[in-house]
Amino acid sequence: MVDVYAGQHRLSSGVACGDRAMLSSTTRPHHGGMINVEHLTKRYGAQLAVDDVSFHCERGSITGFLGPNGAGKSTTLRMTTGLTPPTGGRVTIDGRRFVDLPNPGRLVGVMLDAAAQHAGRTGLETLKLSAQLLDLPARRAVEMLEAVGLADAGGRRVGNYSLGMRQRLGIASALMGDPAVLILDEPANGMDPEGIRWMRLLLRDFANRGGTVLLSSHLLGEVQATVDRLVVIGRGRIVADAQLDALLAGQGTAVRGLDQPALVAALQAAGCAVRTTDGDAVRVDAPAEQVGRIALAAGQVLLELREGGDGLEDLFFELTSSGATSHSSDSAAAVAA
Amino acid sequence: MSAAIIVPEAADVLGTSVSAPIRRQRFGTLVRVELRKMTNTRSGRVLLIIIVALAAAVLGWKVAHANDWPVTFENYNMATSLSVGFVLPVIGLPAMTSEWSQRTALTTFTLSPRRLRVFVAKLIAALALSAAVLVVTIAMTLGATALGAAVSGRPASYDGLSGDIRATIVTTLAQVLMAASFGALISMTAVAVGAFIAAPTVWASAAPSLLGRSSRWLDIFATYDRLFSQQATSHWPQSLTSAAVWIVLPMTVGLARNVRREVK
Repeated sequence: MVDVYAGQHRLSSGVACGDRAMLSSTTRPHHGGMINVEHLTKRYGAQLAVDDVSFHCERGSITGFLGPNGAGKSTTLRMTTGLTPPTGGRVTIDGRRFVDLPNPGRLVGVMLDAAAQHAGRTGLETLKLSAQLLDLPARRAVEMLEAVGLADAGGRRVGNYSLGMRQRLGIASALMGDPAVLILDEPANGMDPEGIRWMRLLLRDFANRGGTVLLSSHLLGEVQATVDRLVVIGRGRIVADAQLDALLAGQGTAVRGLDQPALVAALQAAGCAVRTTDGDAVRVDAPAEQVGRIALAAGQVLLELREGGDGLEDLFFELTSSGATSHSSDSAAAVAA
Repeated sequence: MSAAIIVPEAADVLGTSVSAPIRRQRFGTLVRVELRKMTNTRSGRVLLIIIVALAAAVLGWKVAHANDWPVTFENYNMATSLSVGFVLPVIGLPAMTSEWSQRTALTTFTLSPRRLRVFVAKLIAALALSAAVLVVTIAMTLGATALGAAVSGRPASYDGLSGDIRATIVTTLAQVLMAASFGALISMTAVAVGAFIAAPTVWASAAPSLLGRSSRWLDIFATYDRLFSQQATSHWPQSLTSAAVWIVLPMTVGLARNVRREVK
């Protein structure tokens, strides 16, 4: 186990920078997850769409699954939910393959495409069909429709719903069976800011109740605000699998001072690597606490101090660009060892 | 288009838990759900309305011209079958194709990952719905026959009633199965309907010159004619062969592909 924060407490005064290992990731034991993806592989002819992918999602956590288009994200989610047979490896949910679950919707709520509803059916009727398959009374469909704020639209055909409304309908359907696991592909897509915030609170609440969430999204800011853990896939392989905090800590700290040149000089004098960025701030390869202490010791006034640098967006491109190195827990542990 | 949405608290969505026991999905549930799916969309309802309206129109015309023909159930049933018989077989075809054409496969097969059970449930639902519609059109035919007798002042004949009804049901359900098998094989609804109508017709006109007398072994129309004329057992090896090629084969290939097909 690597504890990224262990190093920081020792850095109570201006200690030299440069220890990259501590900026790596925390690890979690590779067993006991609610969702276990083990050596998953999918080959289409000569093309390896998903290449030996392993990760797991724990109870009470939200895992963000990121990757560029065509990286194997959707294929992995489809293999997880029994829609696509894997070429190799397997996925278990609570110890069983999805297709072996007695009534999958009662354990796993799935929404892979909000548009995957019959346009000619009403919203309420769509949910009543799900309720029937889940051995639940039709009343449950009415409750869920009210719960996602679509009570007034229940009698309208889904073809007339906006994308945001279809997302809500999909969420209602996914949560219908009171599942322990949620698997969502782009759940905030097409939602207005209010809807996005609603979705974030909903998922947080779900995880706080012990639920397991695996979600993919291209809205990186939203992912950063929502998830605990990140799994990043690039060209079919896992390129990062760690706690969000730890991955962002690896991005260093963005800092801006009243007297920027003096601040940079102080940081460099302490041995910190300082990089300029697009904005006014500079990026420092050190935790925020250490940067703050160096500034304090140098008598510099800080206007901005932000751990995680420029956030998930930079990290995402760093991880998924060609030639990116692996940031998975295993390799991080190897670096730290 | 969108109405103002009142956003409830997240807790409202998760606040209610479910206590019903988790059991393996029963086949009966799948059949009931598939039956419901065939009747709860606008297109599904329109198809049912067209069938009943067509029967009403044809039978109305028969009654209005009751003096021109013998008032027999056989004669009226022939009129119903020749009209409704063209549309009714298609009743189960959209059920086989719509999961792919409407993209509902993603939802359907995550809720019920054992796809073969779902497709068999669709077949049974299609047969059940067709049988229910047949009950309605046969009842309408019976009523029209009685009405024709009243209008023309001649007595109605119901000779061979049970045989006629049985033949009508058997022939129609065989055609329902054939249409469903085309839907299973070709997952684009319009193309599947087109193929269901055109392929056997084209074959019927081309086959005799290609295969000579042997072509009768693959003539599904002749098989339907024998079923309808209550000579189901005559030439039964030819009937079975044609049914195997036009119904069982496309159904088997289609189902095998649907079960393995990647859902996107």
